[in-house]
Amino acid sequence: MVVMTHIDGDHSRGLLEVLDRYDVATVVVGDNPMDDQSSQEWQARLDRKHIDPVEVSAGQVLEVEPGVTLEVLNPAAVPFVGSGADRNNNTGMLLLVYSSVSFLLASDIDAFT
Amino acid sequence: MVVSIAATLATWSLVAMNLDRLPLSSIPATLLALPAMPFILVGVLVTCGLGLVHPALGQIAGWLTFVPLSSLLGLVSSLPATRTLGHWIGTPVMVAWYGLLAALLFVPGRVARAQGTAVRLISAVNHTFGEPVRHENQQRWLWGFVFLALALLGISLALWFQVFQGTDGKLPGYFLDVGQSDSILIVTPRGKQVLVDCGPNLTSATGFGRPHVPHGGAA
Repeated sequence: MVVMTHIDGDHSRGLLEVLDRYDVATVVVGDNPMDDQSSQEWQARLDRKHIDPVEVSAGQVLEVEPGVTLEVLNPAAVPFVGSGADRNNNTGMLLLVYSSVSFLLASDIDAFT
Repeated sequence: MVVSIAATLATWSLVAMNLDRLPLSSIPATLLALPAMPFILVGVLVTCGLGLVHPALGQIAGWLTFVPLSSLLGLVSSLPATRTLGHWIGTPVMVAWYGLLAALLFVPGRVARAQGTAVRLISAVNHTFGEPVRHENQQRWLWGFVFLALALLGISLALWFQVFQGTDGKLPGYFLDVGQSDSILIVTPRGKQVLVDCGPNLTSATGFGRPHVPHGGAA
């Protein structure tokens, strides 16, 4: 499984090569707007590999295997507009939960006041 | 020498298909390997067996096995390089080659001769140990072989069971240094791999030599 939190090149470009090189079963992307060159490149790669990405938003829970889940905390159902760094703030933020332990994978999200 | 050539003939197409190389050095390599092989085979077996009992025991046996194994690998890798073929060998060639080998096995009279060889081999072993060739003696040797084969089968089944079923319950996360931004590889207890983001460059995570970057498999 590959997770692309948001389309900013510094997060997503390396994944292009990963899609080429590995046998990726599932691609999860934050349900956030994509409209630039990186997005087109990314979409073209998905098309070529016949991968239909799973778009997620806050509240969804992905089960990686029994006992290991990824809870989606962001992007919110209504994306941020005018937050100063909308792309970063609409990133995919995940909580990896295993047994009684959890790990916050916050990506590029900003602090909120 | 016969064994070396036979081993080379039996494996060249597999090697050529997967690595695109003709193993020219394999005949001298197998000759060199022959003295080290018994130690390696027994060592690996003991390592596996003890490792199933307790990881620490397996670790100690593993260190002992490492000596003949690493010296063999060093020796073989110092042999002259192999020839590159150019990817013309695919699955059809391989299937054809093994088909041919299998057909040779079933040439009439071949099976009977093989049985004759086995009996002669057992007699020869008996001779070496200075015992007269007697029927019941052969029987005992045969049972010995059968027992050994079953024991090996048992150990290997236990190992494969461990590989497919076993889990240490750990959930390692590798935070890969990809320069800018992040790249996190999570491996679940049952071996599922989740990669979150992958840095800014096409070679961020797939560059060779980086630790913890798997070179294949499903993600």
